[in-house]
Amino acid sequence: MDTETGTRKKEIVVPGTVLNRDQPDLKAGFGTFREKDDVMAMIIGLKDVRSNYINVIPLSGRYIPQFKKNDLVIGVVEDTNPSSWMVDINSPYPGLLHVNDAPWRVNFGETQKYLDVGDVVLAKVESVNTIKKVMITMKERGLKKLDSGHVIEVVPTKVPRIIGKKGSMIALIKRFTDVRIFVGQNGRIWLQGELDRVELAERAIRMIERYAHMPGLTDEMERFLEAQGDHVPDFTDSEKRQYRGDPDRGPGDERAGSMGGSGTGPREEDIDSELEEGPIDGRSGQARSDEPGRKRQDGARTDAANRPATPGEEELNDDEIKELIDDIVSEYDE
Amino acid sequence: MIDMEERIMIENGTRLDGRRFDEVRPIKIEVGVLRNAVGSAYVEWGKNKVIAAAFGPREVHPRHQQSPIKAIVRCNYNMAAFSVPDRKRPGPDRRSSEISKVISDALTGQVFVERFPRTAVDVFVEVLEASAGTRCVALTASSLALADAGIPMRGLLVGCAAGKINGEVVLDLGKEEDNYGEADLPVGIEPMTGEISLMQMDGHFTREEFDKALGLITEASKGIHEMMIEALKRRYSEV
Amino acid sequence: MDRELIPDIERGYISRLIRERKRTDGRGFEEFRPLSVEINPYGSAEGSARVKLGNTDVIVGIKMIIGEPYSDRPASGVLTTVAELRPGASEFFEQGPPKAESIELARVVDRGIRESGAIELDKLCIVEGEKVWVLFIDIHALDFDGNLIDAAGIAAIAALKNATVRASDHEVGDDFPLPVVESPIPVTVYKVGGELLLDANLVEETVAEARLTITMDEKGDIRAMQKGGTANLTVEEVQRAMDLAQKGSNNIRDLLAMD
Repeated sequence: MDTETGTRKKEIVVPGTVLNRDQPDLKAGFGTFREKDDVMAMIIGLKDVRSNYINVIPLSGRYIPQFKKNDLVIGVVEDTNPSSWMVDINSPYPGLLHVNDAPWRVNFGETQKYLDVGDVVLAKVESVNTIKKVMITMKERGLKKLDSGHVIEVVPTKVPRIIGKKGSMIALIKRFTDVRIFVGQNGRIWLQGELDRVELAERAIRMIERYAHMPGLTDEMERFLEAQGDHVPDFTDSEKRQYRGDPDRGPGDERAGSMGGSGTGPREEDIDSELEEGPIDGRSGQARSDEPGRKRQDGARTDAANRPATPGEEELNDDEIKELIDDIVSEYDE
Repeated sequence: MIDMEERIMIENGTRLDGRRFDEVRPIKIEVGVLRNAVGSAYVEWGKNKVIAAAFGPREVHPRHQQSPIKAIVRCNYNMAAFSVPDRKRPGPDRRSSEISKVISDALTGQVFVERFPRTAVDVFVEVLEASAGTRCVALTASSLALADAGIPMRGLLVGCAAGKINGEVVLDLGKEEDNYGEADLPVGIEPMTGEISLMQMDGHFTREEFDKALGLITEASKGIHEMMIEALKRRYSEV
Repeated sequence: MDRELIPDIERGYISRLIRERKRTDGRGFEEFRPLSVEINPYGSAEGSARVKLGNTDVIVGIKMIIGEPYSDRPASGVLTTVAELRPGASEFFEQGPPKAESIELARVVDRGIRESGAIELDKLCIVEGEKVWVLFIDIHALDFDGNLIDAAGIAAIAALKNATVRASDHEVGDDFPLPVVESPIPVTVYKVGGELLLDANLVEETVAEARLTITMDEKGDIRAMQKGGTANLTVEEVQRAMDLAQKGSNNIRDLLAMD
């Protein structure tokens, strides 16, 4: 049964696959549609059953901003207007940023002074209406123009894996490389730091993107990152080919993919959590609890995991890191 | 040059390439073969070699083609100049336009277009080597490319043709059979329901022959569908 | 998305890397991406090659018909090169008739082959003044990640070297291998952040100030050149580009010989 924690080998399904042959009473969740008595997959993805719903976790697809998700996104300004900017958010739907949602006081016609075409911003999706007109905002704490650094694009469905359970994977990378990182739900990632560290962080992210489905990923990551002190392995042929998008996506993508989740710890959707209720698209909107069975020795870890940090950034001490690594290792190793 | 003498193309139930009347040519499928396209597929079918690249959903250009309430699905079928014995001049021709249209219509019927208003889903199909039945291969490859791209669809579509040679109804005409046969029926089919999303025909069929041809296609589509599913799964489970 | 919409900070990042003599994919300035060449994959062509240079993927097909020679060269075969930059290869390629980009690509590849005399066109005469072999080099881009000129040039020479003149099909004699006596290889040198690089990927090519394609023959002599981009090149940069092109084309020629 798919509802068991730790079921990593989820079945890959394709559009048209009937999902409820053995369990006819299950309801149509995310990524599925119903035709008479059959619940069928509408996208290629991983079959996931929880409570009474069958969902399909996407393995592929572009980033589509969703109503009420308030995703953290990294955008590139593509047009300026007298009282707004049009921002490319790596989606078929551009994000409109109105001056009222900008962190500055902008006079009419002076938008270009603050943001011009080609500028990069850290923003949040504020609203998405029924015809998919998207408004973004920069008025929240931590949102800003990104003045320097390196922006890369990853397959949006890999974002939850790159962030990791409760932000653990990205925290691991940040810890070892000392690089500032913001991960946008729209598949864009911003990095800033010393050049060779940024290079290392990017390679680590590409590794996750490529090998996300494999067990023992975290050990590999640790080895790779630790080696930075003595000898960083040379770029491999495939790194030189610079995978754009990911040719090697695999199963085990246990997050809601591009359709859910965000950068902050408490809102991370943990599919294996036994207390998870309802379909992944958040229709039930129930609160998350920590998994049972995880001993909580010190309050510090709980705080670290659940503190609403600045989007994408968390400061963790060494003990916290070690516990996180233990968690990751136990989760991903078969 | 058409030989006016009747060519023997099926003898004792065996066709020129050794196939039986209800056998499809060998098929090889690989999904996710291109890096720029969001989804892609490469299909070898007999000597046919076809590659499909899917983009989208994405903004519509030219703007006037966009629909305020749904995505438009556009397939562009193109033959490479070197794909046929007599070189084909690059550029669209009437045949390619027609094929593009019938494939676009078939794919549109499968895609949940209401989910992506004001966008386009584009599939570009290149025939790199042609050997009869390219539009069926193109439809199959396009369907795979769209699935690879994560486009929400009701299901996959299988393209397959049947025809008539020496008075016998046979499945999946090869090149010579297509040139000298008496009928050709390319079909795009929903493998789960048996419903038809693409159909063209030229030649001469009696009503019974047509029924037989369609029956052959429907039966064969199940096996082809399995191959498509297997190829999609393989793409997402191998490093 | 407009090809020019590379974020400004990204241009800055590339410049920083260049100053440290680095590239985004860890290569050296003179290093080519992994190269693979597939010979004669398409039976419908008289010769063909599919080249992958990193993620750039391009096919060249050779087709031949019998036609009339040019009036000023009655005993010489005819050569035409055409490029198709299909929209499936890149969101930056539009549908429609060939744009300047694809015309330039075809003409640059053609120039190297023609000016080096790589194909013995005088051996492609059937009846002087009336019938000669007309050769088509069709470049078909499948996937674009920069440096299409070099990839197409490599594919062209690989296809030509493995092409067969199918005289028997046209009943004008026996089949014979297309007579190819040179292997011109175009190597494009890109000026990025003031430095000279080989085999730019898409981002590098987009931010490059200028580029210089140099087609050299087996002896290292220059057969064709093409400068692109709006910035200038100093004479010294051109000389350095020559050295890079010489090294690059020799490396590629060695790789091709090994296949």
